[in-house]
Amino acid sequence: MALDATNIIVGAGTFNIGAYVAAGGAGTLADVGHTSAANELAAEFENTDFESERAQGIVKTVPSKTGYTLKIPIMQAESEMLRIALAQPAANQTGTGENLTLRVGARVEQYHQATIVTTGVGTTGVRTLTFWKLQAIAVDAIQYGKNALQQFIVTFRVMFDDSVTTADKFWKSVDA
Amino acid sequence: MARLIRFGGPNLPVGPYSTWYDHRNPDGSYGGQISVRAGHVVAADRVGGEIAVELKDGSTETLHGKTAAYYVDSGRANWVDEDEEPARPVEG
Repeated sequence: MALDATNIIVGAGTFNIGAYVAAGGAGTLADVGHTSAANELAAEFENTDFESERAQGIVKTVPSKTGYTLKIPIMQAESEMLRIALAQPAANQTGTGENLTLRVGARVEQYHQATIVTTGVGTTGVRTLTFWKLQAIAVDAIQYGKNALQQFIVTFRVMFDDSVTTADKFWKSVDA
Repeated sequence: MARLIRFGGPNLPVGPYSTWYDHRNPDGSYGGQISVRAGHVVAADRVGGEIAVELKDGSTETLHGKTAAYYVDSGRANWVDEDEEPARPVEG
């Protein structure tokens, strides 16, 4: 590629999350607001290697496992975010406005759609990452202290959504 | 003039909520995935439908984006009759 400094991009991402929608339909997503650090998308790949009696190196390698995780340090400690982080059913949260009670019980199988809207290299400079099916799988220890930021650092696993008819079974990145 | 939709409804309230649509350019090409919030007004024929996406090898693939009726039927947009200018917001 030709040298082009305008394609070197830096910029925060806005994380939006909502209920899962099958078949790649558009969800209604809520902006989680302030985050205390960068949103992180990590990839984990495994390959199965094959060797031959007639060669000393690997002669074939087949991708056999693909995983992506998202780590979002949610700084706005709203009850709804705690509910999502702890995989609690919506019925476990009651009340109105900000006066909510979250009853923490067993985690349930719960999926989400989410987007990260960040800087891109397209015409408008906006890149949208869309994750079709997320599951909250971990939350870092939440600190309640006189000098501590009460935040929810949530790790989501990106599921393989085979109800999506296009090639983006895990996620997609769109520059516009 | 093309019909318009205004995003917003019982399933897309005013506030931190957003949804998105696949934008179709007037020539039928893909204009990207556009995030919208309640209040944004968009020409219905720019929303989804069959969009030609050009692949790197020069061939084209058809993207079946959700149409304006999908957003209206799912309680996230309403038809607009007024003569309003379509908006194309880019924020998240």
